[in-house]
Amino acid sequence: MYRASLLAVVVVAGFFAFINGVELAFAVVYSAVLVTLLSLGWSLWVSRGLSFSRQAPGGTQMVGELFSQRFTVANRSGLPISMIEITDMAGFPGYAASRGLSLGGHQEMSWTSDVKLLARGRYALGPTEINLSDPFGLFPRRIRFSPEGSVLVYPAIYHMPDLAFMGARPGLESDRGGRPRDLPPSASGIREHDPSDGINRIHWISTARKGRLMSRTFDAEEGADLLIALDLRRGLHRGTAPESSLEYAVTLAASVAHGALRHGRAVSLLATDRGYTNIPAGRGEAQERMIMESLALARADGQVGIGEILPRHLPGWRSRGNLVLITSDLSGEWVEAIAAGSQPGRRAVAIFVDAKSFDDTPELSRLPAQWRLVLDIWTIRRGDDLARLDPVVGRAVV
Amino acid sequence: MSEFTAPILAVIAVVAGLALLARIAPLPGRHSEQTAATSAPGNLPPTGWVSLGLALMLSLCVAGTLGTTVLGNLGGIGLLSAVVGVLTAAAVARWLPNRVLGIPATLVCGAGIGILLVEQVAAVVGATGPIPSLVSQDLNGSDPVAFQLLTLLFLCWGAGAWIGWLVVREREGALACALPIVILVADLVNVQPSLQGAPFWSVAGATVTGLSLVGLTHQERQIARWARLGVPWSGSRPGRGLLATVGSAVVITLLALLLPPLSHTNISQRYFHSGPQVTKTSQTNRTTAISGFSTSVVPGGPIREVKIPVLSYRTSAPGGSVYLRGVALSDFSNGNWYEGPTGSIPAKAGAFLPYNGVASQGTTASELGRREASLSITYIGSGAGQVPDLLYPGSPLSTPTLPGPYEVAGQLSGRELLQVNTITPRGGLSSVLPPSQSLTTYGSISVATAAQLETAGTKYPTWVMADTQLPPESNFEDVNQIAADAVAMSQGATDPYQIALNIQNTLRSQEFYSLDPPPTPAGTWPIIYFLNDSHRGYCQYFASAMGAMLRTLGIPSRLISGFGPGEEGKLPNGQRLITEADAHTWVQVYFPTYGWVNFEPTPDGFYQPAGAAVAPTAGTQPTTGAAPHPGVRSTGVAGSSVKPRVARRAGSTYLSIVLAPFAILLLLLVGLGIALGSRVTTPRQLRRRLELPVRLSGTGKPSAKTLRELAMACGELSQGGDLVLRSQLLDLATRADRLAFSGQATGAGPAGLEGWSRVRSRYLRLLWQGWRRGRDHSSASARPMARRAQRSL
Repeated sequence: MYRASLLAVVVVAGFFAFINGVELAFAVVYSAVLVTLLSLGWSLWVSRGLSFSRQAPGGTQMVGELFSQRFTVANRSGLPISMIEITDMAGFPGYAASRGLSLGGHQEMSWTSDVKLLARGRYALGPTEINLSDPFGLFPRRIRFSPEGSVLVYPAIYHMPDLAFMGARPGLESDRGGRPRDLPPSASGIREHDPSDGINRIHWISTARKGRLMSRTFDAEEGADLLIALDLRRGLHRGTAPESSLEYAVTLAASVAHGALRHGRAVSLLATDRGYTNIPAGRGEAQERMIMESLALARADGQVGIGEILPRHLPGWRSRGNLVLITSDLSGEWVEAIAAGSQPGRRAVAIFVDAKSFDDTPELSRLPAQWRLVLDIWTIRRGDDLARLDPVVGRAVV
Repeated sequence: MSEFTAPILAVIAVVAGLALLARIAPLPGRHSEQTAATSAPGNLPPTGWVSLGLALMLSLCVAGTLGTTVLGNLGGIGLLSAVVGVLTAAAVARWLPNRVLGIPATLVCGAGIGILLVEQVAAVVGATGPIPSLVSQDLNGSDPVAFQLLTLLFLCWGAGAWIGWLVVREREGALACALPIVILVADLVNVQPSLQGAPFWSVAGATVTGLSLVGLTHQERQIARWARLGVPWSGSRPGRGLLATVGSAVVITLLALLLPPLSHTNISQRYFHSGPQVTKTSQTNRTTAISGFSTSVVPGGPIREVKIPVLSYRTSAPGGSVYLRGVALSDFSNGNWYEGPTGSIPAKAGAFLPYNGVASQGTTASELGRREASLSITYIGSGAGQVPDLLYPGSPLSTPTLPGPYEVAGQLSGRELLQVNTITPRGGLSSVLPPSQSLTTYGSISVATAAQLETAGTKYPTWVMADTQLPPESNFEDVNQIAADAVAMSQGATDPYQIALNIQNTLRSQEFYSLDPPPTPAGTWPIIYFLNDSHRGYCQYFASAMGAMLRTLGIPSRLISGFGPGEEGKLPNGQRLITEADAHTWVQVYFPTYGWVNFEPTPDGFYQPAGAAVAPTAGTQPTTGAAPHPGVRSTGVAGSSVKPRVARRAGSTYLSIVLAPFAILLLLLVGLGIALGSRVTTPRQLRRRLELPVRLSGTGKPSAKTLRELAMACGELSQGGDLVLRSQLLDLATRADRLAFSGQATGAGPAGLEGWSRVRSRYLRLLWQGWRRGRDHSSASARPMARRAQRSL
């Protein structure tokens, strides 16, 4: 609009000034031309001298934490910039980090932007758009800075005091539980070699890579393994993050995995997403990180339900440990799969996330009573406080 | 009612201002770090006082220009109307921001203002009756002035309302300024120059305020948007932004006013035949007048040449060209020349006129050194209406044969006509001359030789004695000043011809021709200021000065206003074209026995002076010396030695010539700086940068090299194998390759190739080294060829 108006003035006034030879009319035309040139040059110059930087904490974050970033914009040109709008397009839910600034020549300004992380996922730190203009607003320019890394947000973790394992725990005293004796202990990490370590503990690959001796570390405690089966079939879940059945399911899976790993159990994750995530059982920080990263990026985009997958996995898992299944499926296919693959004395636990309760007009799903004969079922609905699940009732205490 | 118009408008302005005051709220003040308050949905963001002030100033400048140029006594009402327009529109915009309600409400206000304005105009033009009849009467064309005034006054209000609404409600500064600028330009190019006052300051003010308003509304709109979206912002408002905007606007306006105009010539008639009205010259103020025929000579302000065709002619005069005599001006008063106290007698068509006091019988037998010449004129367009007097090829000999009657004005002695000043058809020329028909007049032109004129003597007839002196009531000091100049310029000559020739030649050689002479101080005759101080002027200055100087020496002289010989070659059949730009004033000196002889003191580069060496033409009386009569265009004349003494806009022209190369150089440097200094954000841009030095060095085909190869080639070009530069270039090439292969080649942002900023400072040197390498390479490859050629010899 601005440039069109200006162009119209220049063309019309210029034509009539020229054919009439009126000096003052020329002055008006010259003004329009000069302001165009000045604005163009100003806009180019200040955009060239503008720099932008962002300082963000590294590592991983968790839903519910406060993520703090510090932005700095510096105008290295000698010309003032009356209006700058900085828009950080990092995709954090509920994050609208726009900022209006006015900068003088050779001036720098910094500010901190805090955002509460509301949803899990990987978020790019950017891109950042800077919109600025000359003093007349004739030549607005948009500078786009590409993303500077990303941040991974894990799902929220709630403390679940033995809830998920009450019915499933085989009893550590049982000689049938736990890892078979013939299985070697699993290495959980690498550390610097200590002279007291045996030579068989040296991890030669890492030693070659680091140039110094490195030793393997082993999980000292053994216990029953835990398989977490997460149903991520497309169309199963309802609601919008963070109030969606998917987020509840993922959060539960993360909390269960975290609790089990903290208790020294080997945890395996099976998810029916598009990539059929299957993380073998393991212990320790590395395993937890792997599971959390997987859960952080989990999407309900699978083609098949958990009921179709379980029959293939349960036979291999039969003697290794417990099963916690998290689903919103009402079809009962998964119940049959569990019933077929169950072992005497070992009950699986199913956490049923009632997807219908996440609809705009929520309803309560009714589970067939006979399912409880096969396994323990815990029902979670929208609004339940996941930190206060009642192991007896099987419902969150509100 | 009309006497209450101004007070009523003032009251309306005050009421609107108060209404605005009650509703307006300033934007937040200086903030170091804060969040702007979010406006409630549907509420307009608050408007700043600065933009409202600028809107008022802009409307005042526009109304001021109209008032200065065309509104005259109604200028004050125009200013009030503009103020009322801004304030009412702004108040309505604040109280009724809904466009569907606000715009009609503003128009209703405008209708009320219109009624007041009609009353005012009716009172000014003396119209009576109800308002509708006045308007309809004006619309019927019986009094177009009233309607024009009404329109212009309402335009003042409309411009104000337009600005007020767009600034306060829409925050569209560019649109708000577009209409005022169009009004300004339209006013400047269309208004009659004779009515032009001094719109300089109002135009300059309008430019500054308009540009400032554009910038400020942009900033306010942005801040309002941030406030609406709840965007936190830091900085001052309007503060720094306003300062930058207003400062830039002032600088731009000053530059625009200093730059010379691209054209002084009005060629609008070529495109718009009903274009601006051409008026006569001789304005005493500093406004620019348009060249054209004039019935008096009053040297004044600047004039513009307009090449509007007036007529075409053929003549039997020697050379086919002649000065076209219109009015003889013999009355000198305060440095100006007028037709003088004359009488007039009626004359029939084809009647012979008395010539030099002797009843003429249609011949020039009574005079020596003269011959009869005919002038066949065809007026072009409205040319007949622009030149009221008949044009003659010299002293008039008879009235035209077209049906009269004619009014012959001149010096009378009882009922006897001694000298002819003008011949005018009764009822105007267009009443006797059918469209596109030619008119032929006959006159007497001097063909006397220089030798004849030198011996003409000083026995002047009685009727010409009045033309030998300046009026006795003239200021003594002024006359003495002119006389002193005349004595100095006559260079000791004794005979009138030589004196006239010396004064003519001195004026042509010492003074400068300029269409834009400096303004004459108040109380000073323009010709005295011209002769002693400014030394710049156009034909009226030169002719007035020469005529006055001759009279102080007792030599009978007068001024003739008419047209120069015009241009040939523009029309077929040997016709010459006369345009408004050919309007001219020259001097006639009376010589006993030989009559009135033309002299040309104006050194405009076109016309020959009397006495210059002119090749004899067919029909010219053989001469023993130089031809005394001027009037032949120097262009195309063999042996012409006329040196134009043109100083027309000399300062601007020279400045332009001097500054133009610098400006071009500066533009090139700025362009080069922008091109080289801009960010490198994509691999393609990096490739272009790296290809240039390699191409200059001539060490291979750059397009066939990869980015890394180009970087290495550039690194080798660097003086002494600059390893740091080389590694930086290689690093850049690597990053660019990564970007290219990661699919982010476009729009990847500057972060990926930020390292270019470290190389940029050495890039010019790299280009220079590439060019030197290329030069050495080409000379090295040429040497073997030269040796081979030497061996073959």
